[in-house]
Amino acid sequence: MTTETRTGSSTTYKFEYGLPGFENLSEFEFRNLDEFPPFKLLQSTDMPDISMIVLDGSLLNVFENVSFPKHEMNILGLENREYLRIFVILRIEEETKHFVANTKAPIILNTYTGFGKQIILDSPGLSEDYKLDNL
Amino acid sequence: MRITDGMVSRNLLTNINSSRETMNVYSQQQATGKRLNKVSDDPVDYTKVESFRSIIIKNDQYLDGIGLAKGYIDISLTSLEQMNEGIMSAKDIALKASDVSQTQKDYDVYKDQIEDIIEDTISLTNSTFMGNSIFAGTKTDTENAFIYNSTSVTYTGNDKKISRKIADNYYVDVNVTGRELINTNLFSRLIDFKEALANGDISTISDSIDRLDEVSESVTKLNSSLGSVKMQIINTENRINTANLNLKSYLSNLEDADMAEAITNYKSEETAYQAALHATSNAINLNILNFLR
Repeated sequence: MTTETRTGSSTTYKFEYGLPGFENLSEFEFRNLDEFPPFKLLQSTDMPDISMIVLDGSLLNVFENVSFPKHEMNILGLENREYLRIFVILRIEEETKHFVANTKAPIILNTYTGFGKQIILDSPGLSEDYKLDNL
Repeated sequence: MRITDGMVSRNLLTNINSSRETMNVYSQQQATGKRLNKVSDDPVDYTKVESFRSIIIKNDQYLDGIGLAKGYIDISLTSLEQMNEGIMSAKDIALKASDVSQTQKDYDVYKDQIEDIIEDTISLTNSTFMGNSIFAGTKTDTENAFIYNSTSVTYTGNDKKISRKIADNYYVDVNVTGRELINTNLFSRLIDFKEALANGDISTISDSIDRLDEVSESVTKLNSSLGSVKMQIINTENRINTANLNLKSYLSNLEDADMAEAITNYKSEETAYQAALHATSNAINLNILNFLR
């Protein structure tokens, strides 16, 4: 996955607001996990020991009919979905030890400008504990 | 080509072995410390982990406080809305009473209706949340801070705001005080109207239409302000909740045992392994039975 910026290709994105819980981290890189496709690692470039497993949101079919708040799209300079890319953050559910995705608070990216943000949605059908079936 | 029991057994054993091999790969990686989920082999900084765990606990406390604040505000908003409905009903009565065809007999009926509205309003101003009077300022243990004696209303609460900390360096006022309610002229206008009806005072009856409109506007303003506070609280709640989920995602990433288990679950190898095992035991039983025949 790359951004097409004027300075060339990069898997690094700037997060002006950081991420909730990590507000001081303003830049993250998306790294492939070769032995573990299709998952990727979202890693802070300032503090490389801060990382989370993420998944391309388009693999989940939950965002197709979801409209993203206009003010959030504006913050990232997104007029439409052309340069929009969505990722969800995974965690391991305590009791079941299964991966669950936070589809209620996805990361949205502008692949042209290289900026990203985690946003919080309130569409029905989105959940903090979205169970992954085999993709 | 005839399929022999031997071939069936060999295939099944191959399946079992490949499933077991896959599981072994994950176990080995766990054992050698090489992690699928980390790019660097640096040891985990457990002081950092502990500080993140403390943040999660602190956030959970904020979330509990936020839940209570929302409950307090919701009861306040509902009470204000119902007060406003009472005011609008009173205004409708004022409209009817202002008609030239009305007589004292009609006014007496309306007077009783307004009396009911006043008593309902007093009841609403004395609403509680978890035993606390919500419109008594910080004197929340004052039962019935508003008392009506048919000509006036007395208030024994105070004018103080209840401030709640909902996040680091972030406080919000969660109450409407009794003073703010009294300042809408809620009671004075209703009582004046009631007395005008008792006395057949047409001029005051007619003035009551606009006066009650103004009261309604003032009560609506209080409702909107509190509604804005509620939105701030909800936004903060969403942010803190998301922060905790992100922190938990980061911590998930550190626990090798959990990660290996989650991967195993995800790949469903265990299911495949069990299925293969089950099929094999059936095949073996068949062979033994054949042998015994």
